[in-house]
Amino acid sequence: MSTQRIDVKKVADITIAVCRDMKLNDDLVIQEWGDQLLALLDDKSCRKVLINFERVLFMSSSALRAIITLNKKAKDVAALLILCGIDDNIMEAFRITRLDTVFTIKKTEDDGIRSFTVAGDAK
Amino acid sequence: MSTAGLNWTYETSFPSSIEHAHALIEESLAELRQLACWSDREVFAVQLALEESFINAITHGNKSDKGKMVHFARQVTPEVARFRIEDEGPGFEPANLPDPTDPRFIDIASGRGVLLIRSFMSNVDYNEKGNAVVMEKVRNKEQ
Repeated sequence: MSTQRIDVKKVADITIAVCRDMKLNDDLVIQEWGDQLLALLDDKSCRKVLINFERVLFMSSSALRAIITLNKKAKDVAALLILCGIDDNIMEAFRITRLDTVFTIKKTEDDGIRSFTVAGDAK
Repeated sequence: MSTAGLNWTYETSFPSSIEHAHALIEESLAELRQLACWSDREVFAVQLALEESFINAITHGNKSDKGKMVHFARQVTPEVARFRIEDEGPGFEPANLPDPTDPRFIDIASGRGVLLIRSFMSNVDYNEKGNAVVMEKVRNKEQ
């Protein structure tokens, strides 16, 4: 049985997934975390997804890979995906890999929620 | 970066397992933090570079074969943190890796580890065979 890696809540039609782990660098953790995020998109009512990373202090390129896979699925099902609460050090990894140009990234959860109201804000 | 004359303060070898690698990363970070002069940002950089290097060695180099060993050495001082990680695989040519920041490849899931290592560390060298990396982080004394 897999461990719960995200806490999910709804704000209007926005699904917010708060990552529970401080470190996303273990293969099993990343697999479970990625699978649970992907499963959100199986629900047709879930087409605005905000992933909150505020608890995450470390993530490896394997976790980046999982988010890229999630982004591809989001595009396939025409869902809007926004990331928020990313630690400054991790944000540097996004900048270096230029993934900051692939994803819509907001500072806080509130910023993320607000940005869904701006049409086409999510990439 | 010349590795001649380096005095490694710790050396070990272990079977290809990420659990062993994570224990060594924690030990190395504890040694850095004990010196108190390394910033959190620098410790993060070392953590990420070690994580990516061990993943490369274990999964890409040794193909997760527990019969193959990973060889690790470190030297941590108040000025520089230096690491050597070697696997028993055939090696690879870092220059042949596609640039993951190229718009043609930006959406590809893998291939970011080496870029992150090079970006977060001060100096990174691979041996000729491509199965060993020596990398160092020089402390920023102005922080």
